[in-house]
Amino acid sequence: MKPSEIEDLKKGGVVKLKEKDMFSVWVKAICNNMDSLKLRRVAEIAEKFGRGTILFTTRQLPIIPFVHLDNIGLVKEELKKIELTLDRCGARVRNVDVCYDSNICKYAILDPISLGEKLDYFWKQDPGGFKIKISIVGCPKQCTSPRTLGDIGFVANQRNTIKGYDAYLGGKLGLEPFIGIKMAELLDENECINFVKNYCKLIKTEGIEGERSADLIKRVGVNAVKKAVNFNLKEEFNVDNTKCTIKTSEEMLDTLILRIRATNGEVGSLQAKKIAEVAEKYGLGFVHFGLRGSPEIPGVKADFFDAAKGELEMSGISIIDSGVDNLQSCFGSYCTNGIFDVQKLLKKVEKLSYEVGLNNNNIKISASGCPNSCGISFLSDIGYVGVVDPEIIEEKCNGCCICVKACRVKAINIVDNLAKIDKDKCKNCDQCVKSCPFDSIIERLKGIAILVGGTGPHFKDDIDYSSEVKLAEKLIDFIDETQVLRITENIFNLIKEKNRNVSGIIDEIGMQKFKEFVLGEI
Amino acid sequence: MEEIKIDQKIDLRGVKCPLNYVKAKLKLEELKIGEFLEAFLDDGEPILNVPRSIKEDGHKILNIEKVEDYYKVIIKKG
Repeated sequence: MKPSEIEDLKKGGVVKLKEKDMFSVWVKAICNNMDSLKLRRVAEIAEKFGRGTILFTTRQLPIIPFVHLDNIGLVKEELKKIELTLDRCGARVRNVDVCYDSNICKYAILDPISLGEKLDYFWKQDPGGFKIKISIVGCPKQCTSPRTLGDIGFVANQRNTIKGYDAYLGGKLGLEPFIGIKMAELLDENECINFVKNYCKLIKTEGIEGERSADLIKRVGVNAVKKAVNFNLKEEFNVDNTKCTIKTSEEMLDTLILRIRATNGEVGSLQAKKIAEVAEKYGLGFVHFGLRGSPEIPGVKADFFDAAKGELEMSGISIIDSGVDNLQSCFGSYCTNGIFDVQKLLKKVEKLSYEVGLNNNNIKISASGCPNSCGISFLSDIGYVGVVDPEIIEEKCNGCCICVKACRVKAINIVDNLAKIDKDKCKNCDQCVKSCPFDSIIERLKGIAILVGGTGPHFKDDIDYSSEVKLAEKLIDFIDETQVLRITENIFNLIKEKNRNVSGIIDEIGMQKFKEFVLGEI
Repeated sequence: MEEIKIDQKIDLRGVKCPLNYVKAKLKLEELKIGEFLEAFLDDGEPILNVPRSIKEDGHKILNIEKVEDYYKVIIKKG
């Protein structure tokens, strides 16, 4: 590996995987869209330098897993040939997440793609230092979930005759989830740009290392943050516009968006090529990457639906028109943080959903290998999370403090040169165990937690639809896969019987009764 | 603790993740099994991520010592 190649790693977009010398490469997709030509090329790169798989996560862009360290430079060169770059990870401004404009989506009040193109300026200008996720939606259905997944979230809204974006700050999941707080109402695009500019300036001058907008709000207070981000919003601020590869035309009315089933966000390279082809043939020549890890083909005329579906099915690709919504996850067993085999569990859960005969696209199921919540369990009807109960082996601990730093909820203190864990504060994320250089913290207990009743993004006309975000609550933890599947089957049967989402069922019968019904005897 | 004679040193202060890990890894490749590398790492992400990744690659962390605003880490090649 050449020094020039390792220099590339500095800029981010490359994440180490559990397997030795293996990395995932994140490909930037402006406004979460990619034209068919480029997607096909990304699939070829995944075949040549990866293992022929592309991953889609809540980051809403293609990720190529299993690229060997020695090949990262080559992958970057190949991407450059088709004018693609790597996205960023870590403490940086992230790729802006959007949904669709009003030409494609009938619910859209404004054109989030237009705002997304402008806000890409902050991605381009970012010198690094803080993780800033920006998420935009065109209507209050909140398909990109800006209030929980965006440090800065914009939700298009309309009051009387005025249309604009309501601006939120503070959204995040992770160990300490936070629902974004409204900081401004009905902003126009220029005001949104100034809002982001103000926030970036605020966090860079007032922020403490590693701080997210939620942390900043908790530390300095809502009012102080509100005042700072609302400063001089009317100021003329020109940003050089990035152009999203989207083609709009008036023909798009009465068209469909085909959502592709990609369990665990995994799509094989051959399938990705087919999706690209169908998008060219029947759609608009580009593919959109949705929040729940499913690629989407927008702009398919209703008359072509059967032909498009048929062609996809010939290549083993199904669209989400039966069963539950796309089963969404993090990197799971590929990730250095993964506590259990997420992919394996979700495949079994999917099979179970068909066996039970659950046919409700609004039911959302997610899994996250650890409590960092890259799988959006908090926003799903049913969510699975890997958990670990750590224990210190005092004879091995040398009081080096690495675990104290690794613990993100400050649950570890050093007393008499030995680490002590405050179990009331511990979020069971396993970081202390993994970070200890001397193996002096062990996993006393390891298992899966089930969360229930979260409501987040809405993709369809859900009978229990509400624009309010509700985080899922913990049902049970530290159970094994067999117990998980048994409880899941009970929940599936209840959903089928009541024909509503889990949040609605809990509202109807109460959490206590829900627990009694689904847990039975453990 | 066993007798430690440092065979190689690498100063990774000011080098960001994951580049610091990659540089440490390349340095370790120059060593023979059982030899010792001393690495200087910044506080924050580097001291959290680099020893962990090195450990996962099968090497052993023998000591971590805080010196002023950085860390001195002793690694035994595995």
